[in-house]
Amino acid sequence: MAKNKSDVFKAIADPTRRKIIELLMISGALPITAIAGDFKSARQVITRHIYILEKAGLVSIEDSGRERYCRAEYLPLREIFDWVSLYEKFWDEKLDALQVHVKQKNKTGKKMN
Amino acid sequence: MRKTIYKEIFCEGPPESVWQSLTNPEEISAWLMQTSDFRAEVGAKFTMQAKPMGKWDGVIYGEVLVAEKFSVLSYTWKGSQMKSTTILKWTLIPESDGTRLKMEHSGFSGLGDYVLGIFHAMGWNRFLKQLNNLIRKNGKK
Repeated sequence: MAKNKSDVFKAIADPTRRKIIELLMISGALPITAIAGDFKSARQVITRHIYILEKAGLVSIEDSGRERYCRAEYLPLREIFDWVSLYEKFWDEKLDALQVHVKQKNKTGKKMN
Repeated sequence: MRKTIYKEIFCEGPPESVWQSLTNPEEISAWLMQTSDFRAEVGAKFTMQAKPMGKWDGVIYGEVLVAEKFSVLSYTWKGSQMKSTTILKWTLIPESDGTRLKMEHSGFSGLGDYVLGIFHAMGWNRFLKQLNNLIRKNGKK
C-alpha cells in the first residue's frame, strides 16, 4: 500500500478528489453510485477520479453484490502530513550544515571561546 | 506515530567549539536559522527566523531549559502556528578526535502543524480536520 508520495500529492491536488476523500472520511464506505450522486459531474468523471485515488492508495475498492464500495485509506496521507518526518528531513539538512560549519571553523583555526 | 526524533553526528572539533556553534547567535544563524538574541542561560528567551511559508511568519520561539557548558543544551521550540511546544536537546560527548553530538527533538503531537499551517492557508481546513479526526480515532498503527 505504500505508494509514491508524488502520486499521493497529485491525487489530492484536485478539489473534486479531495471532496471524494472528505465524503468517504465522513461516511465510511460508500458505493461508487452513491459518491457520484453527490456530484454534479458525470458518473464516469467521478469514477475516473476514484480510480486515480485508488491508484494513489488513498481509496480502496471492494465489490459487494452489485455495488463497488469505496473506503478512504488515510495511511498514505498520514505519512505526508506527519510533521515528524518533515522535521526529520529538516534536521538532516541542518546537522549536515553544522558538521561542515564546525569542520571549517576548526580547520581555519578560528579562535574559540 | 513516532513522537521523538533522534539524530547523532560526529563533529571534527572539540566540544568547546561545537558548543559555541550551538549557542553563539552568529554561528546559529550560519547553520541553523537567523537569530540575534540566543543566550545559553536557563530561562533566556529567544526567537529564530525561518523562511515564511503560507500564513506562517516563520518565527520560532524558544526558551533555554538546560545550559551545561560544553555538555548539554536544551530549549523549547515552538513555531507561532504550532499547537504543541516541542523540546530540543543537544548532548555533546568528547571523543579523541572530535565531538559526538546527539540531538533529540521531542514533544510532537498530532499531525504536522508546520504542514497544517501551509494547507490551512490553502483553504483545506475541513479536509484536514476530517483527516485528523480519523487518525485520532484509528489510533496508533
